[in-house]
Amino acid sequence: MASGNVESLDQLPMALLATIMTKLDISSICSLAVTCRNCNSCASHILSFLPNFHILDISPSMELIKPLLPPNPYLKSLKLDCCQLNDSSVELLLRPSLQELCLRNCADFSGKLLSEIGSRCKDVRSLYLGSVAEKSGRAIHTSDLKELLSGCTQLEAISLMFDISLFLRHNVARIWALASEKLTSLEVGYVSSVTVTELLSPNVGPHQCLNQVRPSILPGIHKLSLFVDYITDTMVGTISKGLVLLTHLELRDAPLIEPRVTFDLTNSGLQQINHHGRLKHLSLVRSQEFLITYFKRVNDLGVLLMADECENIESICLGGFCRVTDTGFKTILHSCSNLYKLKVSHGSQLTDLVFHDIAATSLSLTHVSLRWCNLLTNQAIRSLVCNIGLKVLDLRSCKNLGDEALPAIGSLCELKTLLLDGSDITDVGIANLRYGVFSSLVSLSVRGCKKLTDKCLSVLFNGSSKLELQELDLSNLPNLSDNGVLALAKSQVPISELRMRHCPLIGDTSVMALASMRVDGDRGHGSSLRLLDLYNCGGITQLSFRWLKKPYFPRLRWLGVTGSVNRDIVDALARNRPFMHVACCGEELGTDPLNNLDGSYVHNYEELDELEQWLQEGEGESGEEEMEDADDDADVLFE
Amino acid sequence: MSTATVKAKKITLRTADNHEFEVDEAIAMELGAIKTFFEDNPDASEEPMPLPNVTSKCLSTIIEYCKSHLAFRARGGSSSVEDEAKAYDEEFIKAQDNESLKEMILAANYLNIKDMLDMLNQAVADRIKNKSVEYVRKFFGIENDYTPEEEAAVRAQNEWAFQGVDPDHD
Repeated sequence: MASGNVESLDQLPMALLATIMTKLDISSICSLAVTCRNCNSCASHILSFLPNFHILDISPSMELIKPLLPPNPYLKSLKLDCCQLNDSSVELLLRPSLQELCLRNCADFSGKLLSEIGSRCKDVRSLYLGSVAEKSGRAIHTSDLKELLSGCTQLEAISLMFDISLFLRHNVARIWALASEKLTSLEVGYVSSVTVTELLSPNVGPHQCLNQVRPSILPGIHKLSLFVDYITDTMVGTISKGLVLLTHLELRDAPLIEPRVTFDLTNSGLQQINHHGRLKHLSLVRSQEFLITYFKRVNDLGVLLMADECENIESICLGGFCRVTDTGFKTILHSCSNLYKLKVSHGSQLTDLVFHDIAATSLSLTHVSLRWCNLLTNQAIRSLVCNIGLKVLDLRSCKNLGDEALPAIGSLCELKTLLLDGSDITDVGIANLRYGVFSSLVSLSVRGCKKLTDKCLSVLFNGSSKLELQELDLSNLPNLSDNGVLALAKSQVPISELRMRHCPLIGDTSVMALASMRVDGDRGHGSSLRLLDLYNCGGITQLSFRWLKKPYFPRLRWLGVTGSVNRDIVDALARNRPFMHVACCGEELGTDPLNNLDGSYVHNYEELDELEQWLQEGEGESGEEEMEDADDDADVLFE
Repeated sequence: MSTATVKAKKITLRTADNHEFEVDEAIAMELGAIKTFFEDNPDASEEPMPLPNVTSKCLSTIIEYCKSHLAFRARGGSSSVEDEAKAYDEEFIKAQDNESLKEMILAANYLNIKDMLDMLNQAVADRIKNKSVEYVRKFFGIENDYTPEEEAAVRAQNEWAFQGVDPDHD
């Protein structure tokens, strides 16, 4: 196999090239197929033994993926965005060899998808199904779920990211008893708390004798993640007692009306958490998707009792605990010595005192998120940075943070993600990040830091040191102009996500500058951007659209523009780039959950755009009757 | 391999540019081709073994790599040693430019060093992932043997996948 003399080593023999190809993902393989005839036949051949098939950044049609999925007994992992697919694709996609299956955006499928998985993919270990049957006219039946659970006997992790309360009403326990005993992880997109309680309650019916307890449901569960209507004491207690091996518990609710006292989380509910002592990760979040509301019936006492039970906890996330004060939060920091992740949102009574003597604890926090904690000031940050191993620092919507916190943040050399949305920082403060943290930062957001101007970008992106930055959010900056973007473009930093929503001074020049960014190591022009959000940028005209067409921005998969600029032009662009997601109504882009954790994120900015206004008005109309009822329940102050 | 010998046996390898490398037998045995050769010819260990397809630069890098991994393996299979080995591989790859990577793949293939070849293949795969068609052609020195019509057709078919620039705009 000696290949000629040693000097001419440009040509790797085909066999070696083929071996390298087998290590690539499907989209790189198809890309390679275009290089030469040999590669094309290699690529076709590889399709019949490729172990992983993942296409998540575009929504392929049946026509597109059919030739890419020939019979392949080695296919173990399939991940697909099924936006353009429906029940007719079932036979193509569902294979008996599959062990990992992740199908997102299955709105056009019916419940048949579930039953077919149960009969065709009996070996599947990990299953994720998103938005199944959400399109009108599609339905899921209880029998579909039954067939799924009884057919997939090896199932270890299941995520049903859609509303299962629509079909799961009766005999809940009997259905879930069909699930494999190996099931360790369960995640549900929406289910009612009553159903959950019913599912996990040891049911001693009249026909059973008192000492005959029904075998436990879902005995092997380590990880439970649920989005429910109301987090209640009963549900929390039932979960904690019923799931013996529980290590991860994530509960999120979004009340439609103010919860009554029997249907809410109170101190006594919190006390029941971690009944079996194995809990490592806990997340309790009340989101404000439909109503501004909080866990009003939990105060420091509840948190103290909980912290007492949860000394081994490693990660804690508390959202909406507006009555908990420094005492409660401090207890967590001091009791839980293994804590590495702390997330608090809507901690309206959380102040600097919580972190005052954090250096005295032995904590080494790596993730800290403090959102909507309005009493927090720079002093807290200065105390926090004694955790030098911090990787993620999320301080969004902490209005009182400003320049004085930045030198401290600048010293965190392990920091990868820094989110400072809505804080009071200025260009002068930002300069503190330049040497030190900025060279290792991967994701930076200064959304809504209204005092920032172009200067901060020229400061940050001035210099030759290699940057790791990939994601940058410069939205809602009224003073950001094209000059700032020019500085960014000149620096050739290979960012992949750039958001500049609601920037009135950003215009066509910025688009042109970004389009002509060349990135080292890649021939020809081609900015590295995969996501560009220019929604509601004041200076964008039709000229920009010429620069958004191919061959500019070759990697762009997500684009946000204001659709009302010119509908025809936007449509023409979408036709020119059929595999790009174009958002015209202000939706947040990308599949990154970080930006869209909470529906209430949208409410924070005074300038509401059309979509947001419409959403709010819509809620008001339907919720009016319920709101009146809620007013009748007096807000009970507990002792 | 006799474990009774006190002195480590050395094997000499002669590269294409006539440099001679003396390596411990243990390390030489990492190179599958050498191991097979000596299994077939047990008396040949006195003479330097010619490797006409490997340069000295390349061989010295390979020997370094094999030495390090032999040491890792000697320390046992704990997860911390595994992590260290992985980190070593990452640094090793980072330091190589595309040309040396390709050279090493050819050498590792010729010398039949299975684990190193696997690691190098993965490293090259990572480097060409999501790169444009033009970049990949240049990287491997692939000649475009499509007719213009064929190329247009195959591009259209795979349009969804590649991040490439149209060749006209080069």
